[in-house]
Amino acid sequence: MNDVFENRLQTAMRSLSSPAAPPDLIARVIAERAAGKRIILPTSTPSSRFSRVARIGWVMAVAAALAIVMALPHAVRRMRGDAAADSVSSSDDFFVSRAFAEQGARGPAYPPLHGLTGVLIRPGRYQYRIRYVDSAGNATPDGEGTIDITRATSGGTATLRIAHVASLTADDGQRRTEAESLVVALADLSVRSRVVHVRPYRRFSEINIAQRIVSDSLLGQMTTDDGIHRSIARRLPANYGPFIPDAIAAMALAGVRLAPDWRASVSVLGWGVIASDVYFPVSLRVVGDERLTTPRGVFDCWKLAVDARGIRRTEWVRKSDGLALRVDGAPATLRGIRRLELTVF
Amino acid sequence: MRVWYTTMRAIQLSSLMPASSPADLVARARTGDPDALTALYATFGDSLMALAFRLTASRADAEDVLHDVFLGLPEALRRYEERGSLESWLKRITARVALSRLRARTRQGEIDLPDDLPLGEPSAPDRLADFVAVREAIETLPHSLRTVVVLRELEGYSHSEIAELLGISTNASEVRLHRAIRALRSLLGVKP
Repeated sequence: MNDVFENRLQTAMRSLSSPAAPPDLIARVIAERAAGKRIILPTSTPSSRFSRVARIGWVMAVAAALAIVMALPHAVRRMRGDAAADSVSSSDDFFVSRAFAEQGARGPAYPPLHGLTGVLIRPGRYQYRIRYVDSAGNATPDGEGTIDITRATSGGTATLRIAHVASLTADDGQRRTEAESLVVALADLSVRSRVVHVRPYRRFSEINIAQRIVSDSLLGQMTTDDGIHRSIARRLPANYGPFIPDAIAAMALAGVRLAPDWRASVSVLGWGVIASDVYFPVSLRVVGDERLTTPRGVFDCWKLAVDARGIRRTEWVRKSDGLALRVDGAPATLRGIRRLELTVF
Repeated sequence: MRVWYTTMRAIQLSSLMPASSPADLVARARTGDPDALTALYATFGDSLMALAFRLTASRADAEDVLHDVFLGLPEALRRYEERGSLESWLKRITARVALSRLRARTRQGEIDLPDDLPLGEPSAPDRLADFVAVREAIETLPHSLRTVVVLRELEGYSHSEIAELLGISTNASEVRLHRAIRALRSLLGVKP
């Protein structure tokens, strides 16, 4: 009887659907690894069936070995002094190989980005498009978006209100629409409030993120159409600031004085629902200047190398007003480029 | 969606990568090669996600498990001896990570149902054909029972393998499976 039930249960369980692996997760992992983040996984092979006596013997042997190891530094210290003893206790080869030691988390690559201000950002409508361009020059449209910027006052503070609407094909092939309402301080672009709606989002018909920054904390909540709720409470380490939402990234350099060899670090805010999606450190470096041909004309631009934890892109920023007119991405896994460019500005 | 700086279509783009043999992929992944990791993720990500989801009964936890597995994979692969199939080895690691997460969650005081699940009268009719009911019943189980039933019935582990993974005796694994089956039978309204 039990077997019949178990067989039916097994069949039913195998028929159950499971969520697919999130397409963007591996990019985050690779970016974190590029920044030096590591984790030690439990890989021990199944132990053979030690008899109880053998287990005790094994434990005693380990204990004896530990006693020797613990005694050894003291002996060495006596013989060679404190410095040598310290090196004996060092174990940087033990879990993580030396090859990665120099890639340890070092904080941002460059000094924090200074000069962020909304005063020089021109209110109005901006539009962009995303295309994939293969090595033969064939372009495949992949999305478009609109960014509307207006000046406002919030709680007595001068602000910029940014309404961002994007329509994209997501990693998993799902066509999504994202609407984001963002309020940032006019003075320094610090986030006052942020609300993001995405529909559909994987199996949800809608997901909503509401955020605000209080001191060094990112607070808020995530809700979905079917009642799932997650609180957001993440710390934003000061050394990784300033923190800007991606929706304002194209205009963020409007008040920044770029020059040859200029370099700076900034972080793009994530949703903060999971630990690996709180902020993304981005390093920016001027690598030259070029005259860029865009759908709206030809402009003199600074050419910047952008590195978002291993995801490298090239950005062209118009010299006259700091507007990022184009971003080309060439991830390691892509033959060709992903091109995002402003079409109305 | 992070449009400007950080969006990356890793999975779709991985299909453009040249094919590699599993041994080559493992060798490259050991060095932390992003392409090799992406290819392994494209190949095994869904099955590992499914296992993590079954064990944790939480999409968010399963994603965190998958994240940790791939974050530590290059170093872990240096201890992979290529005796069994790579997928089995990856699943074993995924199960360990998921189980340690469940244990940590319990330690942090998150409430889990007791092993002695109060079982009401079997409700009629038999709901074993109702996938939603089966899913809910499995998710209702305390994780100590759910892990055993998932590893045994879905993954085909032996009781000795389950015992090794969970750090319990083989007998305890058998007892837990028996209790899980009894609970599921009741929850799904299947009469003995």
